[in-house]
Amino acid sequence: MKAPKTFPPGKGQVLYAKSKVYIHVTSNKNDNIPGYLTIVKPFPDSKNDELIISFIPELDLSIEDKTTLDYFDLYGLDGEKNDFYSNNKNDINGKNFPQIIRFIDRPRISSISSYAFGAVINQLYTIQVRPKKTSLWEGSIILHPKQENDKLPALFFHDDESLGTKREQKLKNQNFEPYSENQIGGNSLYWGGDRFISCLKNYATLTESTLETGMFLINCTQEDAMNFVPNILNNDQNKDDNSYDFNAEVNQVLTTAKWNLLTGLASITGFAKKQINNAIDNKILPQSLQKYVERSEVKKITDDFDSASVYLAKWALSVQEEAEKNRKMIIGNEYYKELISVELGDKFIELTPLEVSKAARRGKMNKEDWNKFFDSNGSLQFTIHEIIGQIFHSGLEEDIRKDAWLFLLGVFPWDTTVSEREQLKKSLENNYIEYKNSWKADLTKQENDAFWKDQKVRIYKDLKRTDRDVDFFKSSKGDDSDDDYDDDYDGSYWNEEDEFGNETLFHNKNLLVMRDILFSYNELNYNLGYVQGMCDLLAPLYCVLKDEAITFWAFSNFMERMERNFVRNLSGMKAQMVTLTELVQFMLPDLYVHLEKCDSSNLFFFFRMLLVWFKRELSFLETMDLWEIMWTDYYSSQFILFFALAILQKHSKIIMKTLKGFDGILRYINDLSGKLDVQDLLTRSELLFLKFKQMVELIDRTSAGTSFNSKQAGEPVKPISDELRTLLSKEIVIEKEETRTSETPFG
Amino acid sequence: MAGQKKTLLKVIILGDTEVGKTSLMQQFINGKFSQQYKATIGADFLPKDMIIDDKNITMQIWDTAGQERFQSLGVAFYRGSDCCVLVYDVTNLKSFENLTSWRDEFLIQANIKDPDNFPFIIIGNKIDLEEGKRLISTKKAQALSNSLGNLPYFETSAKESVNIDQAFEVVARCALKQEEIMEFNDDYTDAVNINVDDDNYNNCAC
Ligand SMILES: Nc1nc2c(ncn2[C@@H]2O[C@H](COP(=O)(O)OP(=O)(O)OP(=O)(O)O)[C@@H](O)[C@H]2O)c(=O)[nH]1
Ligand SMILES: [Mg+2]
Repeated sequence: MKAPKTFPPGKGQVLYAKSKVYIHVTSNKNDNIPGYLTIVKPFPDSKNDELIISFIPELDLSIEDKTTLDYFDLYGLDGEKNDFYSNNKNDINGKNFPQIIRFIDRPRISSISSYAFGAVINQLYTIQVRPKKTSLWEGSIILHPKQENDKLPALFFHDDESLGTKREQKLKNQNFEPYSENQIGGNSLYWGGDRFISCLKNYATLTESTLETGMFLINCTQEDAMNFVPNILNNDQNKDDNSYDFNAEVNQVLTTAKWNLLTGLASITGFAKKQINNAIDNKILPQSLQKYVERSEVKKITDDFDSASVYLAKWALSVQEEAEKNRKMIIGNEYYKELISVELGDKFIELTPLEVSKAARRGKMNKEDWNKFFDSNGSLQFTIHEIIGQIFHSGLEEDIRKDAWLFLLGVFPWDTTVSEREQLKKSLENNYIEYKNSWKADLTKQENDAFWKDQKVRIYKDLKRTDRDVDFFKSSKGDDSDDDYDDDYDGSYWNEEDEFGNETLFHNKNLLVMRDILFSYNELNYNLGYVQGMCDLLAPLYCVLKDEAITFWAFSNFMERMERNFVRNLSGMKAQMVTLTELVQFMLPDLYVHLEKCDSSNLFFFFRMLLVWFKRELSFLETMDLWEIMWTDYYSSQFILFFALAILQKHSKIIMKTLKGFDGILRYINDLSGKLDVQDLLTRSELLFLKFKQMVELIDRTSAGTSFNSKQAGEPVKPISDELRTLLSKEIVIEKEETRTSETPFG
Repeated sequence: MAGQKKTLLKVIILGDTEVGKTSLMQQFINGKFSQQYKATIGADFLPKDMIIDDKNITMQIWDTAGQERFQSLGVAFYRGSDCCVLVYDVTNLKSFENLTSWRDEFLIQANIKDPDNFPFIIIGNKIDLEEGKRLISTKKAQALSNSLGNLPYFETSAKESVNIDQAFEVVARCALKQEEIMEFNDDYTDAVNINVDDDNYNNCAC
């Protein structure tokens, strides 16, 4: 068949197409951009070296063009009737022209608004081919343009998704020739990029570098050949001794320089960054995006692509990924599975209803029980471990919380007498007044300090919305809960003012006290400031303790361990989410596998729960039941993670049976709010902790000894990850916010 | 596909903290206003069934946190949205000024392919508050909506249930339209798969 003399306007002729070629924008597979790799003849009179190699994202294609490319992907140049094997040397200007002549929109060489890109063959320098080696890694290619600073992203061939590649593989297998057509780096199996190389060879000379396998020079000049294919060079020199008179040393330097550039690889970061910078410079983005990128913060980000907002956006991903690093160690590791079932029992890891009911919690500690722990001087007559153990196992009745919490929160040391505590209390009160005065008496601060004023707005906004359903914080202007919302309300009582002449909208003096405590905490911990969620932590404390100064110190001590939840870069939350994910892998492997399938293995839905220790999921009183147990640090300072684990454990059967997607799981877990049985979950938490500890000890014991066991299992023994190990520690994990500077944003 | 099956539309509500996102969602879905909603942490969604032009749809309305520090978490929930509602408080200038950043942030983080045609709706909330407190006039808000591409604009009160249903009906229509564009693409890929099934090509034993 002859080459057509004219093309439809704006179209080019398809010479090759491969479907399901991807750009991996980040390491998260959700960010991958699927598209087609094509070779297109742009004009009827284009020569072989004027063909365009292009990547076209699926989303950029018209339906017509997509159909055309799918057809080419599936059947190739010769159409469905002809043998796939007739791999004739085709030449677009010669006789063996492809049977099938189809056109698509002429691909663009570059595009700012999408990931599309292309290159004319004569502008390409090399092509780097990384064949598929194992089923875990996709094969890929990278095109290197002659313009050294033009970097193009790697293209990955997802063979399992490409209908064309699957068909080719099948045909090859039927013919007992499963191997790659272009032997690169030894025998490899046929893969998606293979055909592309074969096809490209029809239009260009590819010379493989002898310096690195898989690096092909495209229509290379002799000079290039000297640099990259020394063998050729030697041969050529033998033929014609004088033509390449060069200074070997200089050449060597040049070679390395070029090489470094090429092997510096087209990292997508560089690519995207370049795209954005280009776009900013040339003002060719859609208007909305143009404005966005002109903002100085965004400019900063494009300078340092991994900084702030991008880092944060990838937050959830990294939780998942870090946890996955350890995944293979535990899940599906037959050695550990067997070890645990042999040593600890077949179903050790499961909680049976019998186990749970046997371990049921004791009744709460009452005033009488509490008093028995102290002598007439108010000194503890038992060991701290004993009283803590008692509290951990039974919890406290409401009327002793006021006393007991002060010990649990470290306001008073356990080993003090009544009179010592009274003295201590006095000095704490005085200290508090100092913090309080440092803002209350400082009118300049109140009027001029931008940070302080911003904090004030934030604190007001949140206090207004803090536990207004609890009597202690209800509006004095009457109850306007959902049921009896006051229709006659005329708006007037919203104008209540605080002492600064600001509207408070609180109508509750307890909230005003809480405001003072939070302002004062700002003075104590200026770096952290107020962050949403902190008023949730304060409310139960003040409601129980009722004394402003004492509550302030109790809150400050509580914040010691909770500060890690609120630091700006969320690193403390991330660490806990990672640990929880690993704990789920370790203790509930089947559930974890299911969550992975549902895109939920980052356990996103636990974010809020861990941030404010289930305050939003539990009633006000249940929250207190939970927190006082956590404060004992009886087994672990991070026992809260076992409580989270217990929730998953309790619901794992239902989740695995009925829930199939991220939305569904999020909904299900969110809907548990108000339905969590704290006592039952605490029982489970304890059992799970004890099992966890036993398992770790068992694994440690076997790892510590000789490698006898591990050799037998053909598997190196891997220790428990550091994150999991810290769960055995009672030491509070402290992470402080970074020092506030004039650059630090308020939020 | 469009016949009996209910169409699921994902709608995301964005805006500064305290502008009334949670209150708007609750008013629309449960017909209630309460002073007792807490500041949102993380994200949550509620479903609402509606009928639009004889079509059964389920709107999945996502409420996110407004505080800066937790916004990055919302990002995980942006993907796959069919419509985005941008809310500000008519008595809070900053919340109005931030609308454009919310929009841009959404476009970028949700990885929207065709940013100029993605449906946004602007809502100015709390119009029940007395006139003297109002800082953004209707005219000013309309000018912004126009400049962002003639976006539909509504003034609402979540508290007194003013204009809520009207606003969300437009949200539903916009989302539906957006969803149809996407579905069109999906159907196409389906068709290709069916062809290949007939030829048994994807049962290959390799
Ligand atoms: N007067 C009036 N107040 C409102 C209206 N809508 C919400 N509010 C109040 O404004 C405050 C904030 O409302 P929310 O719905 O919690 O605000 P949000 O946007 O969800 O805030 P975040 O969750 O922090 O992002 C609450 O005190 C509400 O009672 C309204 O239409 N009129
Ligand atoms: Mg909210």
